[in-house]
Amino acid sequence: MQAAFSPPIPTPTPEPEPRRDPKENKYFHEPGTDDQLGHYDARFFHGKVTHQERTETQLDMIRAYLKFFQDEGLETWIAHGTLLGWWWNGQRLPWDWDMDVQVSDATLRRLGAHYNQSVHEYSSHNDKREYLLDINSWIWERVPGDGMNIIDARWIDKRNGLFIDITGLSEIKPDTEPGVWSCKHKHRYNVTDLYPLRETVFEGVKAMVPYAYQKHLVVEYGEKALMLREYQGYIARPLRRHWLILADIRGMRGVRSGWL
Amino acid sequence: MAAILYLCIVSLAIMWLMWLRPQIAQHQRELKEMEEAPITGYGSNAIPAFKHLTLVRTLDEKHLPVGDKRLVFVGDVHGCIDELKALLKKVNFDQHRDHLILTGDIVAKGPDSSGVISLARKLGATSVRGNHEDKFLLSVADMEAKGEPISDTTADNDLKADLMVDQTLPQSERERRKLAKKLSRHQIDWLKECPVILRVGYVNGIGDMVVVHAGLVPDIPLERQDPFQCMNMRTINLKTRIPSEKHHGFAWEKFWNFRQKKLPADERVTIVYGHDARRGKNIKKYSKGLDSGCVRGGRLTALVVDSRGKEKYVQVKCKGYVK
Repeated sequence: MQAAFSPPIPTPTPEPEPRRDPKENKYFHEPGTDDQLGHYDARFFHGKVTHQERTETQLDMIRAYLKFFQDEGLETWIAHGTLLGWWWNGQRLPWDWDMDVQVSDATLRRLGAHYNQSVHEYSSHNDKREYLLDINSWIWERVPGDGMNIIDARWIDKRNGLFIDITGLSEIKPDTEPGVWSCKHKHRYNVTDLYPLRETVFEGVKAMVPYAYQKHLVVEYGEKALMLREYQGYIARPLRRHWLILADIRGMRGVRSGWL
Repeated sequence: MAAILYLCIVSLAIMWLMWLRPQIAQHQRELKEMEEAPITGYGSNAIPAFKHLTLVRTLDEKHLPVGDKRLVFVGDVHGCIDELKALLKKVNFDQHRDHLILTGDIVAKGPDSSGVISLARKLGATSVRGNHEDKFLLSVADMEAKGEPISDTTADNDLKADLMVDQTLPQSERERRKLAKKLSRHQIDWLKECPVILRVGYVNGIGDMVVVHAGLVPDIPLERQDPFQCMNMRTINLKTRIPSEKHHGFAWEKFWNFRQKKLPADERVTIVYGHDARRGKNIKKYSKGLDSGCVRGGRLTALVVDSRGKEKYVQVKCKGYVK
């Protein structure tokens, strides 16, 4: 497995003036807004990919991202649906259309200053991919604003436009709510539940997760997410570290749906 | 006279309606929830792999109480070296005969974390990993990743150690980093080896014993317990069986005891734990809570178990080092 780093083209981070139509402020563009099309970057979209290609893309993408950040000494941790998949069996959730990671405010500013528009090569299984690390020019705004730029950065597969959403956490009310970090999607965290980060393994590579990982999952998804093993047509086999497609096994004798 | 009688009856009726009846109803509801297993269960996930974290270790059989040998369990010490020494003296601790087992949280808050670790190592003691050891070791890992020096022999006093640490960090993080500079590599490695759960083994007269810092979820094997919850839980949701570090809720050990009594006698497990200083020394048939708030001026508690399974509780008063 190799990763190559092209030096970034210096790009100024402007503070654009708000225009009358908020949509004109939107930095990242997707080919559509539905569940599928909303998860491609329009610049690299060449049509919807198969389930297999999506799986392979996401596996390579998250491994490449984590390796690059580690090599550069950039702190990041997995979040949201990706964290939930890790909790279940150390893998991505098979129905997830994108992957989510978070960074601190300080790391986000460092990305904006030194890594914007950088392109990275990654090789695995006789395959080579390229990723664009694109930092939203609206990272200066740490509140949701007009909601057009909730995502702070993306790690985009240039082959098909699938991406990892990168969101930064900032202490937006240091006077009234010290130690509370928020993302632009209004998820709020106590810094004492985030740090110190824990080193673990995700999809076979080193990854970091928040200190009180279960609390994050329960707050965001409810306790059900830690209990229901059947979801979106899949059933968990955590001890075997995989998810089975329910339709494939329902016909099998002796299998009781909801509990395997 | 009749008026007084009337008043008594009315007061009793009010007490019944406002307090006693709801209490009984709640108790019955809790019993029902403890009996009913949820359809889908918490605890079916694959336990995540964490670096430098041993989930379960079994105590060397040679330490089990046989003949005049004893096991001495001590609750959260938090660096209170004087109190620990006084307690060991009070129980007539003899390291050639007795084995000391600590319930974790031996570091942080108190005056001499380093001294406590040194004494534990000298006595060949065993400890489980508490939430304070957990956070401390994660801070150490972070320092190592960032190339910050650990075990710095020039940090020979508090002020020097303080000046070596990034002042913009939160107070609690600064304290952990200061401690990381003061402890030796051997002491930090010793802490790293502390498992989250210690399987003690079969103790005559008591049965199988386990030591963990905060608690366990019943009906889930030790190897499938969540490490964070083992070091932090205080309460449990009876409907979902999901534990929580919150103080408010149904005490996890009540549920543990309830479930143990449902099992055949030879499958029941007694847990020795610490962590919950607010509830203090908390002794039940299958759970022995030993954190009696020493570092805040409470007591340091020891449970001494001999080869007949006789349990003796011994305490010393503590000076109090934090509010």
